[in-house]
Amino acid sequence: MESHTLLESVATPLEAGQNFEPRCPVAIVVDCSGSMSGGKIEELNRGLQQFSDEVRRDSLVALRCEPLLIQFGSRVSSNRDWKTADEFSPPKLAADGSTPLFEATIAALDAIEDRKRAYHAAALRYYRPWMLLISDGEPTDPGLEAEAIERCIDAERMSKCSNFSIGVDGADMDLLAKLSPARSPLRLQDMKFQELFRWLSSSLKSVAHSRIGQQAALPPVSGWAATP
Amino acid sequence: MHSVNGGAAGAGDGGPSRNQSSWSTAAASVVGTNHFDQGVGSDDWYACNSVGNQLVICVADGLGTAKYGGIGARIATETALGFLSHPQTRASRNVRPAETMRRAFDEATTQINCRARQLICDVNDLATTLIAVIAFPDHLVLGQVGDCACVVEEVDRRTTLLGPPMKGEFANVTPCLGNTSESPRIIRHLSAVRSIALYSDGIEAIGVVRGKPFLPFWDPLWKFASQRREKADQDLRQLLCSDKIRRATDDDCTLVVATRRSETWSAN
Repeated sequence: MESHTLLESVATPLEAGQNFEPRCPVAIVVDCSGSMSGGKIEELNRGLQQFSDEVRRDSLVALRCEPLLIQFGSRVSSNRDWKTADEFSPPKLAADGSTPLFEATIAALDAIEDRKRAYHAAALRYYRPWMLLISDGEPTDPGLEAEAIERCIDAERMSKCSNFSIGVDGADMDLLAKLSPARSPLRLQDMKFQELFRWLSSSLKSVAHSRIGQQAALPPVSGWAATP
Repeated sequence: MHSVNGGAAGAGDGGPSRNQSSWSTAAASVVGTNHFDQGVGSDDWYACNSVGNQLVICVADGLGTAKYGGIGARIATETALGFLSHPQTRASRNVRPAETMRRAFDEATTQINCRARQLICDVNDLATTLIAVIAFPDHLVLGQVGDCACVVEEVDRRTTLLGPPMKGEFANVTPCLGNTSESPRIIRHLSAVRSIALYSDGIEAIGVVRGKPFLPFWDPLWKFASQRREKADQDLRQLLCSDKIRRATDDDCTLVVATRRSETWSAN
């Protein structure tokens, strides 16, 4: 066998059209209630589109990162259609309805656990999942508050996923803190959704490229987070 | 003893030369693009040795979080290889191979702790994974801590994942030799094998799918390794540096492949 023949004869799963890269699932839970209408929802849409473009550009992130968008407003989207970033295409969101924040949080955590089961079934490795929660208002489903908070505390304590909460405008930051018990919620500065999603894509690149035993270093949040 | 990182594998002290060994070996270790972009070298190390009728291969991968992970990997492989090859400590009729393997891992841990004291650093700064195999004519013994893994080609040409990677729930978590050293997983394979491959985790996404060896990757490698060629290491290195591998992983990649020479089969 000549030297070039080894290179030509060996095939990889990617060449066979199969992606067995370890996955990095991230549930992006966004508030689409009526209070998000106008400039906020438009900036959110721009930010999501930019995020989609950026995660596709890095070939490894495109194969490893799996974003799932869960929006809540007039209803909570029950979408569990996880796709790798190269196939992620965010819909144009419209603001309408109330703020079922707790229901959406529980739905996201359920979707993450569901996804992890699918990874196990497919023998795929995965990074610790993320849940990024963005909200601007008071929840309208207080009956689910205790369950949602308990689930978030459990998720962090059992290392099931990493929760990040972002408050927009007059969001209840104390409440958001209960939903991300391991790290303080941050308030978005001046509708800087694009900067927020640029941070998210950079962070996910850092995670997706992290090596064994390595805790991914996240970029600074100073470009979008308001100083306390 | 000839133990190298990114170079050729060879024969051991007092043992047959490479050309006289009953095994053909090819080995390569390349820096991942992730490390290359950061301007740092590989944290992988490998070493192999053939003594008498035994072949010993060791591969280690220093942890990304460990400041001196590459040094830890080198200490682990060279210590384990030395222990498993030395006439006074290697497996023999009087010493069970599994026990020898455990002691080799203990010795590797001891030497890592010793180096940490010399460097005045935390032993976790040298944290590394380690996999080692002793291949005898009729069986082999494998020791493993972490996510370096072993695939073998059985005598009947089946390809088996003999030592699947030991890993935590998440992709960037694995047990390692260090302050909280894990006991090695010991696996005894009670029949002869035709070929053996040990590799660092950079190869995993390419070589194993759904927990099973990806045969379009391994079959050509077995064939390649079974043929005596002058530039086997360079050819393997060329493969690991190729776009087809680099598209699938940005990690350091180390692969050691050994195939029993065909003329030795009759003696086994």
